[in-house]
Amino acid sequence: MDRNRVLAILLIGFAAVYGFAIDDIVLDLWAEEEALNSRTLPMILCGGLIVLALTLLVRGSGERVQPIAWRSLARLGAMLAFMVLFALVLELAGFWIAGAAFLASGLLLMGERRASRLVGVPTITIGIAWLLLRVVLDVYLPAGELWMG
Amino acid sequence: MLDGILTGLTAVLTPGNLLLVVGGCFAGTIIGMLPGLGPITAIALMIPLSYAFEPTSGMIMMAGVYYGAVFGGSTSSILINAPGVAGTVATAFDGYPLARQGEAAKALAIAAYASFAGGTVGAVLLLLAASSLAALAFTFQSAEYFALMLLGLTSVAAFAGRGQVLTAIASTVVGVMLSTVGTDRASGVERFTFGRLDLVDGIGFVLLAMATFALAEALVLLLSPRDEAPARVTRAAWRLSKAELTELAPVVGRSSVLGFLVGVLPGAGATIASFLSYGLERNLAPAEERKRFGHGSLRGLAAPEAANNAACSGSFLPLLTLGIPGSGTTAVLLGVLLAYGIQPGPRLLETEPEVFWGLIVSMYVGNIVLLILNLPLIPYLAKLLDLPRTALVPLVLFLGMTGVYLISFNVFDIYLMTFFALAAFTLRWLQFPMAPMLLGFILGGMLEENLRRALLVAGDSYAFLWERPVTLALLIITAAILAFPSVRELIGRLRHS
Repeated sequence: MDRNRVLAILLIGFAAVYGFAIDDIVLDLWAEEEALNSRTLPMILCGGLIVLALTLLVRGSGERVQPIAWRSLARLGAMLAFMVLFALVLELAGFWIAGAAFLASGLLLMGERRASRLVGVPTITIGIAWLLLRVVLDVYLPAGELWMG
Repeated sequence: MLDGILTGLTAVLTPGNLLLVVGGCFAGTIIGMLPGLGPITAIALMIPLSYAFEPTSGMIMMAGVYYGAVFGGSTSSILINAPGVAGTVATAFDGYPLARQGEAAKALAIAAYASFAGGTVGAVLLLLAASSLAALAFTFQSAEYFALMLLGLTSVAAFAGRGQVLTAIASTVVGVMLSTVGTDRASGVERFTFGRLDLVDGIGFVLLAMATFALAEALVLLLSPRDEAPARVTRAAWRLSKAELTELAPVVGRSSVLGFLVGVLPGAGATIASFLSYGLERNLAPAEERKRFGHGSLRGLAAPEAANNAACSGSFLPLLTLGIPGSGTTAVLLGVLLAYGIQPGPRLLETEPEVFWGLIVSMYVGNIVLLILNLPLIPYLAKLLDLPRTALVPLVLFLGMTGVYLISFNVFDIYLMTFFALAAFTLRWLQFPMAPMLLGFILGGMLEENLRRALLVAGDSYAFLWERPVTLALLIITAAILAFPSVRELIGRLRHS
């Protein structure tokens, strides 16, 4: 499919969601009389984006979308899942454990198999982060609700 | 003025204060390099330490931290495409591609030299023109700021290659749309929060910048985990040739002056300065060189670096002469001055000449210190790119998530950043430019706010757009810049036919 046409469809989708959400913006009685109220700019932007997207849809780009291999997409999906998991367990298990687990999982996903790197990289990274953030800058990071009792 | 310079030199050139400049620059550079921590954080972290010193010494140290943090932000922009500060976003456009081409050391060196030149020009202009420029800054009201923001947004035309103007404008519009998420500052009404308390404050700049630049880039690298052979960094790699210096000198000169003048305007700052100078240099560059912008152009790197440092000097002017902070960082510095019992403003020069002149002279000294400190570090910093991709990708993702978490300590931001990273990856796959989107996001909020205020002052009438001469002039320049790519294409077609 044409690259710009795929882009145009995505932009129209985004503009549609944005446009529907404009209705949720609450206006005071007198705000509707103002030259510029909370809805004015969003409406102009939404309309503008739809016009631009339709122009892209009509014109196209003459270039097809570059395919991505299923294996690469799976790897991408897995990494995004790891990021979500990191956020999920961050406060439960603590920043340091969640961070080390994320790094180790990420290394494995990227094809790293050497034990020295699988252990070494997370350990060194978390160590430097702890030194810099906790010791030097005195920034508090969650220790983990599971271990706090 | 000569008395003032001597006063400043006397204040700065003591062993203790010189040590504070060096320490401040070093601390600022390290903190600024960490994604998520920028100049404001760096200064805020150093405030307790500054109270141990005399006001002049404390402020001299803080100025060093400020410059150091801006330079540190440039380093992460160049090495891992992670601009942690709005003023260093434009640095990533050409700095990161240069680093990917194995020229990380050269990119860092150019950033160092351009920053030094920009900061020096800024400090000299501040010295020479403080009082007259303060009067100019005072004449800029909301109408002029609105026109200036619009001008800043049109520099998007500078990013557009042939046939890409539409996508660049669409990208800007998307960015402005994202800036409307959160609470409307004028009316207090929530917009596009979908009932979530986490979105009431809007989307964070660092979150969006990290997601669209660093994380999206890491996800692209993830698709092909096998490494390219890393380029060896040699000492010669970061030396600039005479031809390169000759090419970059006028670029740095123009960008420094533009950066300083824009930086003088309260609220405008390093961001607009860096984007405007990037756009200007792209349009002034010869056709062959223009194609390299966004793909590792030396001019494209030098221009925003010189401009953002000159703007930092410029942002001190409204603070010192009018008592109005020119940026978020100078707002924090204002707090520090007030805590010392010093009231910045028109009388600061008379009541505290040592603080006034000491601060200005320390900017110049700080720039020299930054250059001396950072040039030897370049080969070591560049070596970070020797990391294999298997480790680099998870590290960049981890740094990004940590940086965002450090700002708000809210895991929702990590979810949001993950979503934006996926969206940015998809848009990049479709060759949708990200830079105009980020620019639109940064300037969108200020644009609406200033337009609202201008309408309020003008009694809800849009007549201010043509009745105020400076506003009209800026709008005409804006229209000319928007029309320029089409006119250039038309002229090219006519020549061919």
